[in-house]
Amino acid sequence: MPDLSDRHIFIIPVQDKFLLHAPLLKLSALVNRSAAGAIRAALASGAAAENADSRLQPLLDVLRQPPLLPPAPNGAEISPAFLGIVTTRACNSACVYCDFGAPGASGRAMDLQTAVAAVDWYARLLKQQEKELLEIHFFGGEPMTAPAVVETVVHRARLVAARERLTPYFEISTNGLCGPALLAFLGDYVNRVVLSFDGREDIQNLHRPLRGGRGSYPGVFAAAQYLSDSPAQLVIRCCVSQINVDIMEDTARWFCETFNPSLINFEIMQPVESAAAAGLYPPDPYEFAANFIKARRAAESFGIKTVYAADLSTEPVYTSCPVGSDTVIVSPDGRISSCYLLPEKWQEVGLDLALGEMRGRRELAINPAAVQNIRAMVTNKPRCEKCFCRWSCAGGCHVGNTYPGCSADYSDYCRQTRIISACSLLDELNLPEMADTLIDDREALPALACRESDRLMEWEV
Amino acid sequence: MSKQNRHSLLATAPSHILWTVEHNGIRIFNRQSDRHYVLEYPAAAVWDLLIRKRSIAQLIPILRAIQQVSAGEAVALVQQCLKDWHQQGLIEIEEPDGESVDHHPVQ
Repeated sequence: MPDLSDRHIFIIPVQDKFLLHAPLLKLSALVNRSAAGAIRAALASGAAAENADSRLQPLLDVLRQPPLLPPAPNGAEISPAFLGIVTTRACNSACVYCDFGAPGASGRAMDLQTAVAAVDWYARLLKQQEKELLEIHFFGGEPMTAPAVVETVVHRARLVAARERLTPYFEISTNGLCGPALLAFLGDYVNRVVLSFDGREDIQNLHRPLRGGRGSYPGVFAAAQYLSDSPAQLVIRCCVSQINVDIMEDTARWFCETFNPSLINFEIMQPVESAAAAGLYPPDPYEFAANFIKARRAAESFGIKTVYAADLSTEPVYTSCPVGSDTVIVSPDGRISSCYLLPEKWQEVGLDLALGEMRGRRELAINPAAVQNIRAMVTNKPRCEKCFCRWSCAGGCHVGNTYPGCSADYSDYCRQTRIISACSLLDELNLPEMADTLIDDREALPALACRESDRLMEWEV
Repeated sequence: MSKQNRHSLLATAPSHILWTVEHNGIRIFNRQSDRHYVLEYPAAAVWDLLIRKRSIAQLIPILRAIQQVSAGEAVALVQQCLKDWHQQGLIEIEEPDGESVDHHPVQ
């Protein structure tokens, strides 16, 4: 007899049909209302197979299996998904929606000895834990305004990796405005360059002006061209406001025709005061979701994948951001946390994402209790408990979207994520035409996006 | 030549020198002599930084951190690399004004 409180089986309305989604059983299916009701009744009653339609029996057999929870970081010792290095909080751009603290940030770059200590600590930990991938991500500000830190970390990591038989892997989030010599360095050494690029000239210059108001477009265009031909994997990260939401499809097509990205990542802009002052706001969630799917189709026709951070994941997860996966992020001042945002940001919502600090300039001291607290925090998401994206989006940004004590109601971020995830489920089921119909159905979208509970057992048939 | 000028020297690879970044270091190919060279760390870092127009003055603190050595040891390493690579015809050394010169020891 199955547990009647089965909370991991979800049912999602898609126009006149239903998506049955059990991520912990890796099962998804499109069913009609009658089948959904029969499955619910069979699971609720523990009915013998013969009482249900025999065509549903294979589904019921799987749904009656015990769910498999995703592997979580465990043990007393931290096990980072990657090491993050915030080389500096300074930036040579003045993006109107920046919430990384760049406007007014000090130009202080990370001390080279601190950077080396972080790399050495991480390499030692990997050896102790018998892991091979020495994965380092660079963040800012603009990380390439402190190039010596990036060069030092890359070369130290490669030196240590060669000695310890580890495999180095580097990723950087950059605006690409660092000049030809440093771009060449990125192309040669960095595995994945995530380039902030919001689209054609008018949008790029409106969203991401340089300090002094000049446009950043020529420099970023040149960087994208250079990186397209380099060994590095180019990921274009396009930020979407209400201004460019309705041209996402055109923007995706233009990126694909003009450059050679391996991925295009669309994210919504953060609602910050400076953006509002410039007349920029986050896009309508329904418009964003619908246009994301259209952009995905456009990029697919070039063989290029389009991603959204909180989209359906291939495996169930407890978190879709670095926080909660034991990620260690070292700030320019040597503070160590699990989030690359400024501490003020997470402190504002009552979170403590600090993991430890540098001892002197040579040792990283991680607080095991802090590691455990953050692991526990990401598993406690009241808003997400009844949402079918519970095991993929998993709350999105733990600071901006599902911080402790946040409203139990879905946010705009939740709504757009629910639509995009449902369309991804339809794509996985090889039903893209249903997704395309769904995103144009202005009655079906709110029914899907705003549904309070997706749990099959709470469904009013 | 002043010490400061010597630390502002730039190294360039002649057009017959090709190089590529590999997993454990740098591979160099001299098309004139048809010879390959593999540079492991820390020499690979010296090559990379020099060829990317980092002056020696800029290179030393980075090399100190990468190798965890004193400034004197970092300078000695650079000096040895410059000497070897110049003799092997892998680099030309320029002063900041672009004038090509014979190898100068770095102090």
